[in-house]
Amino acid sequence: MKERLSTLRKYLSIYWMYFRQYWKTRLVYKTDFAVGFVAQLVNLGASLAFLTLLFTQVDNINGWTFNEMLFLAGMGGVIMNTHHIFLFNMFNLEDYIVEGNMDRFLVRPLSPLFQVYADEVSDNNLSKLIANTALVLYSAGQIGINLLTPVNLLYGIAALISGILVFAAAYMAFATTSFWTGRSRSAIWLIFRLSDYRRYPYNIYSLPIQTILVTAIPVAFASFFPATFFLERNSWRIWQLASIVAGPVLYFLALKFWKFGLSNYSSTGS
Amino acid sequence: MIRKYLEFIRIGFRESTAYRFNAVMSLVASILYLVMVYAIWTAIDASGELATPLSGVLTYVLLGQVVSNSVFVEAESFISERVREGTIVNELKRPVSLRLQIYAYLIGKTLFNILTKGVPVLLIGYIFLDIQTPAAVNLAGFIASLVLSFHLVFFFSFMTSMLIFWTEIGWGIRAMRGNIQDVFSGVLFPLYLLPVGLASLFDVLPFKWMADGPIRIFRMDATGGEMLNILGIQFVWIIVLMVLGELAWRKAKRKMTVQGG
Repeated sequence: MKERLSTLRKYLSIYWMYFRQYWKTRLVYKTDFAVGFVAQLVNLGASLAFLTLLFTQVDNINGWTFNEMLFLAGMGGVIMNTHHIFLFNMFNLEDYIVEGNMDRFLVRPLSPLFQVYADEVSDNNLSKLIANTALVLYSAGQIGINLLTPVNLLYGIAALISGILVFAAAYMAFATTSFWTGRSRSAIWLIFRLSDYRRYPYNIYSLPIQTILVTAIPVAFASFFPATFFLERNSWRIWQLASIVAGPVLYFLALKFWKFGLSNYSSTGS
Repeated sequence: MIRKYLEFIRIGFRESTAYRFNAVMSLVASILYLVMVYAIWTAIDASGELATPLSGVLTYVLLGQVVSNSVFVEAESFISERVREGTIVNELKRPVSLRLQIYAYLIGKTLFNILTKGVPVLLIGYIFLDIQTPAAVNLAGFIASLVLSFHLVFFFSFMTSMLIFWTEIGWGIRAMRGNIQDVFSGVLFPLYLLPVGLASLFDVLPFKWMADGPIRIFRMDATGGEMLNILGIQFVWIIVLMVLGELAWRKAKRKMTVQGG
């Protein structure tokens, strides 16, 4: 236990070094950062505009009001963008493999997985994280949800961590295929596309899509199900509980797959 | 003279074929998007509150994908690649105009996009949504309107891409323009559903004529004089954006000299 703790401390301090290093090089390009920051806000604005326009036609979608939809969008957005900021680099795994940089990771006395994650911070998503947090707070206020009750707080933290792991597991599982194929980006890109589905009530989708959203690309665990907890839609109770377990379980499985892939990895030799 | 530009069209087309996997992926993206939107509108219709027939909304959204997949080009990548690498000066030394060069190159890309992304989505519409082919006059009008849409989008994106000379980053500019364009052109939301107050905002912007115009012609919502009206307004906007783009380009050229490039 003591040993584990010191390993953890070591990794945290190394991560901090990576993190500072990243920002030093990043802030050389200040306009680049600023444009990315604003562009992501505009992107979020466009999806909110769509939602607003939809609600000029109706006052609920499948029983969900505008504010509830905002809450759903915000909640999924907070989880997804937290994942993206710290763990998105998995998307680029194929580059590390094809360009031979994976070999450099393997000879260092650090976990290769850690090095892939730590190599980049996807700061573009920072503005979306901030905006989505504001969205959650605003819509919760409108609906009258108190996020700070002990139960909500506890569930919220568990759902956030689990949700981040759900995304991380999916990204890792898809990325790991590149140990054999040398390309995984287009497969991961499917997660990216289907992540849009998380903004709308789960039960508007047909059964095949619902199945995908809890298996291959399980984003429902990281948006819809946890949101129903706060909105007190209790018919989803089992799924709400599953949502806080799904992350650790799926991540554990993905990690097994990652290790299997890594053991099968032979360098490109370049 | 013309031959040189034909060569650029060829380059644009050939370059797209080299990245044909991208074309497949964006067709898949389009289909996934349509599946999602189908679910949303169907759920809205099921609540019994939708004032217009569901099939009309779905047809409109699908045609929006056909139009945007086909003619929503972007000049930002072309410019930003060359600004970043500094090779933009080489383009200026060539005995061809930069703008015409990008224009021809994007025609090539568009021809490829129509074949690989526009037509397939239209076919999906015929198979799943029972889309009606418009009368011959409107079909001709639709094609003319699509050609004008291409120009409208091209001149607009050429204008915004001039910002890259200052920001030196293309993807952000492109993404912002794309997002705003999708909202206001009708690609995201059928504009005929807009409440009156909002509609007047959309009317004064150029975006509406990029997608809503051709869609309405295809759906036979605009025939005869109304159709000609759409084509006319598209034409006027093209001229306006062409002039604004030229002014922006002149400023950008001066900026380049300052940089000493």
